[in-house]
Amino acid sequence: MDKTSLLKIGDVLILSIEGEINDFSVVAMQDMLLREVANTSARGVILNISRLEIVDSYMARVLSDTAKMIRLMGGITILVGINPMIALTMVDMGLDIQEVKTALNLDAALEILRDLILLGPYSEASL
Amino acid sequence: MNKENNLKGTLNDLHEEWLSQMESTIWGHGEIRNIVQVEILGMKMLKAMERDIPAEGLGEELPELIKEIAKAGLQGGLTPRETAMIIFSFRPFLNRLNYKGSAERLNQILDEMGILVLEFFFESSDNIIHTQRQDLLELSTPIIKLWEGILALPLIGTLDSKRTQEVMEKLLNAIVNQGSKVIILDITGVSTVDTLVANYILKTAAAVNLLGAKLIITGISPEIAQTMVHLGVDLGGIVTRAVMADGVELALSLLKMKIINLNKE
Amino acid sequence: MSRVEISSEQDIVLARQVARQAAIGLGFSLVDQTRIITAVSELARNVYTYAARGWMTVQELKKNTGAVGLEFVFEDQGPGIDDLQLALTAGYSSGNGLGLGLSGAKRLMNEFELHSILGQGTVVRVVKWTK
Repeated sequence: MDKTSLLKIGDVLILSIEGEINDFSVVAMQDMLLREVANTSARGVILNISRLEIVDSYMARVLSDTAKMIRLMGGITILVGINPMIALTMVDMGLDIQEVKTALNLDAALEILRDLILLGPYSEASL
Repeated sequence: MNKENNLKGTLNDLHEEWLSQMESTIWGHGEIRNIVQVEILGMKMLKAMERDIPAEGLGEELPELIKEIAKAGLQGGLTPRETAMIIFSFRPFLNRLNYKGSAERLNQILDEMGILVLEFFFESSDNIIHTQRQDLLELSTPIIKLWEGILALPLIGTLDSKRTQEVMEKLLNAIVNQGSKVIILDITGVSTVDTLVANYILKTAAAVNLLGAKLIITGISPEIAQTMVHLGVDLGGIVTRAVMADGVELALSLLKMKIINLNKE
Repeated sequence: MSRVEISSEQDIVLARQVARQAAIGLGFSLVDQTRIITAVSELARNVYTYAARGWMTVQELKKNTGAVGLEFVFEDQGPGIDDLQLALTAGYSSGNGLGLGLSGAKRLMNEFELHSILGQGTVVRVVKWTK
């Protein structure tokens, strides 16, 4: 995962997660992402996970941690592209990704972010 | 060559006798649509029993024939007993077959065949029940697109774990395919609300949320409300409304839409 | 029957691929495939994380009713699990811990067996049946 798979729309960063995330690459990914958030003052990050085959507890943890890091830097993270099979499996397992909101697709994610960012930092309380 | 002709002659005679015996017993009673088929199968049975049957088991040919008889019986509306009796109706003819083994073995084989036809009979009826069940499932869990972005799922009847699985899969696929943002789950038609139903609702809500959509539960009657509280069911943060119409109104407002009465303008 | 050695993160990926092929081969539904692969991922990762080295074996099973199933056995000679009850019921929000993987895998599969001896190792056996 390198910088070239990162897109920017306004003050929102979009990263598509593909291939294998493991202990080596996850740190590199988080580093890269957070540095970009800092450089661009991004207020929102959209993580596209439609290419992931499964989400196990490890992946859920990675996503949750990443979102927490982004939060500390003032950004809101939204996950898109969870396929129904993965959603069902996660619910069966009782997996919960804290700190991360989800949206059906890119449009929906951008809309949510627009509202949130526009309404200011305290708007999340209403959600 | 002559001997073979004699054998064939004998088999034909046996077959005819068997047929007339059948007519006076089973076929005299019920309507059998597949009479011709059973006739043909009867002849095949006689031939197969005369040939070499393995020392153990029934070989390959006989079970296939028996399966066909079971199907014919099922389709013809015969009871399991009547279908088995078709097999046992061959008993009087056993000792007249040109079979190389012992009479005891032939009788034993007939018994095995009788049991096998029953097993096939039940297996086939299970399949029919399964198909009917699938049809019923389709009918009773429709997913309705109320509006762009709003899906309604009225649950009717009883819920079992197999059905809940299938409905959930169907719902989640529909959400992703249609880009629906609000799902209205109406439980007016659910006969009993117990912990199984409650868990199903919670699970559905979690899955729907995971996809980025919202769930609204409607149709909770006063009785169901009381039952749920007594059971200690906690729907947590799931939004509910008493009737479907209220759920629709809420769904629309979540999508920043509303219904206005043009007459009042 | 296949056997996969798990001693690197790459092996977890391999275990998943093997599981996926086996599941597709037996005609499991898409969602069941996802469940199987996810459970295998959890258990393989446990082996790698806590024992550093272990094995996964896959086998097809058959019941006399005709139902077929997939059996996965994960073995390692790692430290073993101290409190089994705790490991199986640990909440997901409690950070990293054995509970996450094990109870999740248990819920995704039809059968789940675990044997562990402190200081000697662990064996986890899971089975998923086709309907």
